[in-house]
Amino acid sequence: MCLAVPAKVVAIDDLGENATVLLGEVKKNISLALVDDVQVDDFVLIHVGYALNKVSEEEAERTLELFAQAGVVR
Amino acid sequence: MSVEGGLRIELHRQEDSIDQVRILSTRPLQLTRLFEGKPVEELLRMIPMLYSVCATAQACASVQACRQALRLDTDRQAALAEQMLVTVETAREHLWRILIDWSGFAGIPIDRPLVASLSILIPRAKQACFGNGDLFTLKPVLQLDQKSFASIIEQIANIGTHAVFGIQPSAWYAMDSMGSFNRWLDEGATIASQLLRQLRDRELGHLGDGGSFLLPDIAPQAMSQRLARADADRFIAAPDWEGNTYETNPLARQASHPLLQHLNRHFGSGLMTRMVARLLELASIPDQLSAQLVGLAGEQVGAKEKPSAESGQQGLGEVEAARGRLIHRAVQQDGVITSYQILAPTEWNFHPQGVVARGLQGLPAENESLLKHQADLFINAVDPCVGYQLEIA
Repeated sequence: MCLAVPAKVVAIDDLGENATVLLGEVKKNISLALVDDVQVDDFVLIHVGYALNKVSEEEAERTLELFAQAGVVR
Repeated sequence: MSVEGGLRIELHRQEDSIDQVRILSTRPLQLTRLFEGKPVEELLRMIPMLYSVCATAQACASVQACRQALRLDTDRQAALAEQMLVTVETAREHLWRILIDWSGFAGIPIDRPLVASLSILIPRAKQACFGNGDLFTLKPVLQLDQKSFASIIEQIANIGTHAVFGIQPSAWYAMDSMGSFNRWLDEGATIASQLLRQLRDRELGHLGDGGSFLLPDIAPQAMSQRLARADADRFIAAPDWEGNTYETNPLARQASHPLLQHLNRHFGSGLMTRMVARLLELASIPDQLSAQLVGLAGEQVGAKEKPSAESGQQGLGEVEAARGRLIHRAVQQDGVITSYQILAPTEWNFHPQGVVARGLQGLPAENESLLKHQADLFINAVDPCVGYQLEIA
């Protein structure tokens, strides 16, 4: 299925090209090539190693809750 | 595997080539159970939040299915505008893949500002069609800003001209002989011409030629009946039609183009043919959108399309998304979803006996890193959006 998962940006490299995001308790490195103007503490949707777009914290929480209801994330 | 699930593709070597391919999926296909018991309007809000890759195509297929299940008339202008948004998304997806993946394969640095500039296409197109109103709702209200939409078409055409084709997309689409194609390869300086030239010169154009079995048109009623059967979950996980596996992607949609028919004779259904199919589709989009925009302006305001009388309380939405045909089926009772299903193109293309499995079989395996590179190229040419893990045994 064509899912992208919301995650919080916790660090961005010096060039602004890659970020570290927090997905639950797991840290993951992703590319920021597809999005503009991402800052630390923003929420982004991630898919196969890329941030697809920014979402609000509320939207990220609602989406994660739906994934949790479906049993995809805990 | 990640939360969004993915594919594990195992390549088994026998002497100097791959003799067996296994494809195992962990994609969470059961997610649609979540919609059972939810009001239709809530489902329509949830779909683009959950399925945010190709979210426009997903939302479009979903709203089509729900309108039909509720026996609602569809406003023709709004439905055409929704289709145009899907086409803009297809352009963005193809451009992303070419500017990022193809740059990587060709060893060309990624033009990051250009890639990032694509992120504004969909929000601008939505605004140009529906203003600040809600999209993909049961009764959408069109608020067309024709001038603004025309500028989006121009933006797509300009990026295509400068970064991909080197000439106007419409002129590239008109190319219909191997002579003119080879001249374009020899003279071009764009990402696309450089990568395809490399593939031709390294004699990789035929790579992955395992035949092409293109998903035919299937009557909505026949598809609905198939999805209503007790073994629908198995069908959704590994679809076939009357015992045959098929692929659905730009190649399936562009197969009748004269250039593709020439390429098919030279390279079969290998890399070159598949990559050119993606380019042809991208090249066709500005003219297609322009024609749709004219059609939209000329369509009678308030014209409605009646739902099929046979649909009962179920509806089928069918959309040609960037990666292939996407199908949603909704069944409702008193405005509440009782069953919801999504058949995604990935499941056709990555069927255990499908096009990817056939194309990878027979790849040369003397050199593991070369094998991995060639497998990545072929998988990307068939369906570039899915996460996968390649194992060589």
